[in-house]
Amino acid sequence: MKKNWKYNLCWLILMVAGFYLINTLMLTGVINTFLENMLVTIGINIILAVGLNLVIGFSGQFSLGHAGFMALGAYATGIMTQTMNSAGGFYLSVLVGVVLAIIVALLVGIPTLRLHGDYFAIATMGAAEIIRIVINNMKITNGAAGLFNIPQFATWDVVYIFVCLTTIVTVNFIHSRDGRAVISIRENEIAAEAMGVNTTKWKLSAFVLGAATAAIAGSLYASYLQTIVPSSFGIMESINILIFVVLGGLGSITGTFVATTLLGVLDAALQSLGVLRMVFYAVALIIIMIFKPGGLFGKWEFSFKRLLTKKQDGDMKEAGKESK
Amino acid sequence: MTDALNADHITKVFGGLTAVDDVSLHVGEKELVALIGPNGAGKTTFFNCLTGVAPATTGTVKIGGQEVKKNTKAYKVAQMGISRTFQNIRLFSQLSVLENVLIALTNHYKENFLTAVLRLPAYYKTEDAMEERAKELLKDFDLEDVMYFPAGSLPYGTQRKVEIVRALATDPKIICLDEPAAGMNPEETADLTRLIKRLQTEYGIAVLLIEHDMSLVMNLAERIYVLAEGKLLATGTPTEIQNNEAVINAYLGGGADA
Repeated sequence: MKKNWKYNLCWLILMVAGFYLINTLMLTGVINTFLENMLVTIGINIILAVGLNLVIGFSGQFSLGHAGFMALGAYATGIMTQTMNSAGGFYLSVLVGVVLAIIVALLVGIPTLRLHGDYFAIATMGAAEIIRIVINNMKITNGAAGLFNIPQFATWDVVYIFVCLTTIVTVNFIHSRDGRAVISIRENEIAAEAMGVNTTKWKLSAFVLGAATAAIAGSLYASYLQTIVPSSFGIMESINILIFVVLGGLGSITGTFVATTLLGVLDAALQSLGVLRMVFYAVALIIIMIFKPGGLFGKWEFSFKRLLTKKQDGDMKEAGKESK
Repeated sequence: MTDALNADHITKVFGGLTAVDDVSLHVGEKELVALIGPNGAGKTTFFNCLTGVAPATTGTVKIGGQEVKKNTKAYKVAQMGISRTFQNIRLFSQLSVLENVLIALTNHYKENFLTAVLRLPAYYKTEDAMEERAKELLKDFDLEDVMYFPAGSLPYGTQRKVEIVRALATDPKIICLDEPAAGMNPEETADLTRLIKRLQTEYGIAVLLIEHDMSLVMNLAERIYVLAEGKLLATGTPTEIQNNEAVINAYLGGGADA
């Protein structure tokens, strides 16, 4: 157990260093509002994509309804912080969004997770559309006009911390007994059942965890942009998140991080080109899919443990050579 | 002494086709029983009825004296103490051999979401215990050299072995092996024979074996059941079966001696 502290410490140092790096660049003015906007968007997309990767890449269930759960979080925050205009109110609204997403994910997941492949994708897509249409027709959500003047509590640092938290939760889940059960379903559902793995339960738990993180991302999105409309939570948003996941590699959290960051930067860098940037964006996608069909990283994960132990192996080999 | 497995009057109907017709079979504690029959006799369908993958239309199954209720899901049946391998190997091929075995241990170790996510000491304790048990099993079957290899990258014979070890890791009362020697060379088959024997003698587990390799069956099985066209044709010791007229006819075709 103690041997793992070293690697956990490495991750902690990396997270703190990242925070200070951004903070310093912000104070010195290197990161202007435009770049800050880009970073926050990347952060929110990472939360969404990591959650979706858990559902698609690890449990193997092709969900197309991620934006629906994001909408639940966004509207929970949008509605609640207008009356509770305080940081406490914001965090409470995040919690409400998460609980709401968990309930809806259970309601959607229990009947639909017995479907496979395309059928499940269509069912989740339908569920997300229902959420969007309900929001579109309710008074409290202000209908199609959406909510605006939402107080801003989700600054870049709040987003940064939430990115770290949700990623830690997801990665730790994957590397536990439960996570292995989830992955076994992706690998071979019949064999998993023959080993006594309750496939419905683990599929559902991955789906629910993914939905909960999507709600958190939704809350941050609403609070950072201060304006939300139902149309931004449609099928196109779900597909956008899917692109990050597929591009990074199904089953690679590292890949999700890199792909989301790359596409976020690309998107911002091509901003000046106007509509034409979508062409470049699409071409980049096609090129990657041709040369790396399994995504940028496939199923590969960055690991401090591997990095450090490999080094030790190398040292030992070196030592062996010297003794000769 | 309770039987490891009791199947009473199992019938499985697919639409108009009766794939398994009123078959009864029992496997005693630590007994090694073989189920043979020509292609399409319904052997694998019978296995699927036993393991809950495709529940029987009528008939009852008891595992270790405990009755399997109607509509019990396959994973629940597995938890009752029946484990299996598949005719067309079904390993978690992209995962390592070690992970394959760890997954089979899932139900024997408790771990809750919070301890795992927060990496509390209890998490490391469970993980270490699981890993230790899995490595012990793999070492027992000389698989420790390949335990970090993706299961799908191994040679065919080794994959079969891993699948059996994985089935063993669920700590079952009975293991059903569906054509374990298919596609193996004689050397690998000899290895497999020893392995199956060890399941019985060292681990005290009953084995039900479907196999076409008659030398393997005659070497191992204490009793043999013969299926033909979904019906039970004969049952008895290997010598009895070898001299059974009906069995010879079924294998060579009805008109062979006419």
